[in-house]
Amino acid sequence: MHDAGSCFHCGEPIPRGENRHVLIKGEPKPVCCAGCEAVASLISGAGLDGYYRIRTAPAPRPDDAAAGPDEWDVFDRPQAQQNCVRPFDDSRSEATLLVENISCAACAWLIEHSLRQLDGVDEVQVNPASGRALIRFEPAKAPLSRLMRAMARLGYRPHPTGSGESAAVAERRAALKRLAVAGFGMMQVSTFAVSVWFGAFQGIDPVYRDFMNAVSWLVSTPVLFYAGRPFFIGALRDLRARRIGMDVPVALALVLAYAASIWNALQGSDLVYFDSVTMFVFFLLIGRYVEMTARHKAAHTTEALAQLVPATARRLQDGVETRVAVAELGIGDIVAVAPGEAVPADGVVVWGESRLDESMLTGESKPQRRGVGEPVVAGSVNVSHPFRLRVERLGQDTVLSTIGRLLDRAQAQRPRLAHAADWIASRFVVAVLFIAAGVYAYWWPSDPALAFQAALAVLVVSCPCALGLATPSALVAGTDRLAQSGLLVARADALETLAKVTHVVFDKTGTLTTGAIAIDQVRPLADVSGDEAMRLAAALEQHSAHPIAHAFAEVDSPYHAERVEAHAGQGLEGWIGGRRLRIGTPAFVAAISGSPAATVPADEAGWIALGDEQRTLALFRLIDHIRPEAAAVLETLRQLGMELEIASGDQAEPVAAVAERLGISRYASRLTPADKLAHIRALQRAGAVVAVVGDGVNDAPVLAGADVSIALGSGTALAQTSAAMVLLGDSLRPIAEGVAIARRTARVVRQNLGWALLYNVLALPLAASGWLLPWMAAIGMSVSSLVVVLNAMQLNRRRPVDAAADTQPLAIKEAC
Amino acid sequence: MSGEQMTLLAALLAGLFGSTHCFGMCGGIAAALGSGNPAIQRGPVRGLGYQLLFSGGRILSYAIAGAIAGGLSFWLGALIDVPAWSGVLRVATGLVMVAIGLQLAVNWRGLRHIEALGGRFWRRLSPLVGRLLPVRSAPAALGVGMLWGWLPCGLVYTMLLAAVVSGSAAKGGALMLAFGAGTLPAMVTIGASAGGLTQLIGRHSLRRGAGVLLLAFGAWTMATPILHLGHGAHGHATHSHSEMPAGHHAH
Repeated sequence: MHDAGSCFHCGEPIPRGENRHVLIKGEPKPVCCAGCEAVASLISGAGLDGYYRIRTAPAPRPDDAAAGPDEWDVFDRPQAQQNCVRPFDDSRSEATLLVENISCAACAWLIEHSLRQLDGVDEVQVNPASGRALIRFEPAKAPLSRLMRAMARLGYRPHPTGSGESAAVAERRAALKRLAVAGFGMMQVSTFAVSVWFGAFQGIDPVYRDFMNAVSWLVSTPVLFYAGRPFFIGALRDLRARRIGMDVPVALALVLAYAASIWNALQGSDLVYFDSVTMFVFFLLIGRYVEMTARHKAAHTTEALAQLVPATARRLQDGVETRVAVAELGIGDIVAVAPGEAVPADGVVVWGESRLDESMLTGESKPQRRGVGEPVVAGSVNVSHPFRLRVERLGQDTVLSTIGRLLDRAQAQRPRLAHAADWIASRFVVAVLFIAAGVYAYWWPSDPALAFQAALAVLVVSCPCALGLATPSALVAGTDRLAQSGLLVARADALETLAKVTHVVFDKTGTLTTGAIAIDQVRPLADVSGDEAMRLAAALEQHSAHPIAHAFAEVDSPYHAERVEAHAGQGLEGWIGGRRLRIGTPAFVAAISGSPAATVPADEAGWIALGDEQRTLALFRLIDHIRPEAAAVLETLRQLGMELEIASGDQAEPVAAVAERLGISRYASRLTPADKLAHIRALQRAGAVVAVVGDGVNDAPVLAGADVSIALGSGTALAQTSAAMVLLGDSLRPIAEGVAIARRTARVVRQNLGWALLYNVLALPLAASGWLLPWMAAIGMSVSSLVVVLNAMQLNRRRPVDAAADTQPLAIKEAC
Repeated sequence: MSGEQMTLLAALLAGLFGSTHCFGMCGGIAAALGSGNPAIQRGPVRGLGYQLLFSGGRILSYAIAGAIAGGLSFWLGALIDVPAWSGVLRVATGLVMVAIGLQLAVNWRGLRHIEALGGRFWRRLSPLVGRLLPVRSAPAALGVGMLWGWLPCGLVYTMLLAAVVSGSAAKGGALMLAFGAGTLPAMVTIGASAGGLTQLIGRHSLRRGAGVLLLAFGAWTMATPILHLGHGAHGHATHSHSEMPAGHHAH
């Protein structure tokens, strides 16, 4: 593209008679002037010449098409484009792509410039804030796959997005624009203010001052009416709803300061506040931006979750592997997943065994083993061996999407605590309006100019942003932090209630046990030893995927069972050395010998029988293992001052056994859901705040009766859960952690409210006395808001202790 | 609008719309500085902050150069003490404005030969840049920006000519500050790639309009002292210019 006639650096034609060259990588390149010569040698000398490489690389080459099919080709199919491409006019289309690794404006610049060089690309806009690229192109000349390949080659992998631009992205974009306008305006106006100030030392000519004032007026006008628009809209909305919100004093202060400045400037007075107006708008917008970022972080979590699912999958059909878009997959398809790839859909492993990283979904940092017959969820990452899975759930039905929806729902609700804070803030706003009026009235007789300045400062300094932000910012950060450790907050109020919990009731013994069954006791009934019975049973169970089979997995058996058949709900039948054997329910086992079923003890811990065609040989007593982390978690909860109880519908003996082993003294068994509910109500009447931990599906009424309900979420059950909080992983640990975080969140809310009140108590008198100039008030107000938001954001950070214990699951975005 | 106001406004406009060449040349630096630095690649806000520091340093250098240039002519004026000195300055200012207007309107690059002079000066400064790169801290960013301000550039040199003929260090500095402030939106948004604004500023028709406006300003600036010679002093004499010795009425 750089023929001899144009400058290597700026691309302008080289004027006749100019003969300048710069050595780039040993090659002389023509440049057009001393400036470009200096810049080009500077860039190459400083080792920044990667800029040139990237800038010039993606000129379309004919061999692109001949390069053979790759993962991007599938994006030329209509199914793969349905979400991210819309027709623009007859020949052109518009695509929205999510681009990885965009970390700064320069990346966006490079992508835009390199794509625009492709034939058939009309318009490229890359938003560095959201990482989204909007491309208008002619598919006939430039197929989408070529654009995506070009981006990938630059090091920015594109992903097709869902429905265009999300509301959050649009909001952020608008906020950034406003911020930029306010920032530039503020800098320009401040430059003029400083010039006037410097000029004042030299005895500035009034003409200069008037000129500066006029330009300041000009510049602050878009700042006020464009950048400051949200405050006016908010104030109008409030007034129309006949209430006084936070935006009312802000809008009032802005309009007053602006109008007074114009008036004074026209009068030729020095008292102009254009600098204060632009600063106030800018700082308020910064506060809003930080708040919005905190708010979006959780939404961002949802988006990051969605990004986990790969765009394409390798489908196996009649032994042939083809790469297809995930949208093209159907239920029942077999998909191959190589190490390093992400699982495209929920399904069951049908071949191979591997370990999968599910940390993004469950907060569990250790990769989980998954073998044939075991479920895998979309979005988990295969970390060791290739395997194949049969697709069972796709798209919106996956566990991942459900988690996203639950998060969205929780975020959309407004917790009680935030309502209370709003109420206080609105009362406070009314008080501030009265104080400002009072201050004005007080100073006016003696010094009208000071009266206005002081009233303005009062309005600005006490802008109750800090007060309004104190609660929601902390709750949002706390919620997000919990999701990262594997406890999903599905109802907005759950977090603040969790901080107050006094009693934790475990609704089932199953919540405290692993569900992995162990053999507790062997009772031989005939002339076989217990060990021999175990070996025979193990040989049969080798052929089963049933949870009970795991209990026998560790037994070393010399036997080999043949023709093993599973009888659903009853047991297994098979042959060992010509002997027909059955294992399962006593009645099922006794059926082949014609003898009466063996009687089992009444404890109903779970007994199974083994027998041949003559008799029942042995009984095995099966118990559930206590979760390895249960004891430590319960101990932590006790240290946090919680009363622990088990209220179970199970039989008395296993409940007692579990309670005894975990040191829980208060337990009840054989309870109906109504009994449990009555028990919880009784506790609540006695003043307790009760958290119930259950499985979330079968015990909905019990969970609903609790102050806060925590469900052990797993697979499909997640979608129907009615619980306020869901444990995403297979561990109780996040409960203890969650209580600690909830209490820290509550503490931060108190700190924030305290700080906001203290700040106002200190700043208001200063402003009222006229000591604070309006621009100082603007700085004070914004600092107080930032303190509140930053204090809340530290909730989001993991403490070094627990950061060492496991990796941060939601760190993909921050990593770049 | 007085002559000084017109000059400041012209400087602001010249900075705001620059020339096609400015976008190609300095836009490349803004982007390259951004692309090569891991410290900058941590999100749009930080990136924007660094771009502001780069440009802040650049503008600071402009202002310093402007103050030096203006001081030079003040000293020269005091030295030669010719009654028509201020008239000469006004006419020269008008010529410079016409030159800037031509650069904006038709992308005229007749002044690129002065860049060669600056190129020699730059060769002495450029090793310093190497020491500050890659930029890892805010002071380094400001330093790089200040050095960037001394790059050979036709438009900046033309503005410096205007600063020379402004008549005082304060006016020269203010002029270059106004010019620098004008360049801020374009340079920062090229670096920060805020599409809409860059496109608006880069639109040829707008730039051409600004160039024509500057041509008119230049013509007017040249015409006033010439007309004054015929009609004698009037108008602005009410304002005190005692603190600005090279003010525009010599009587």
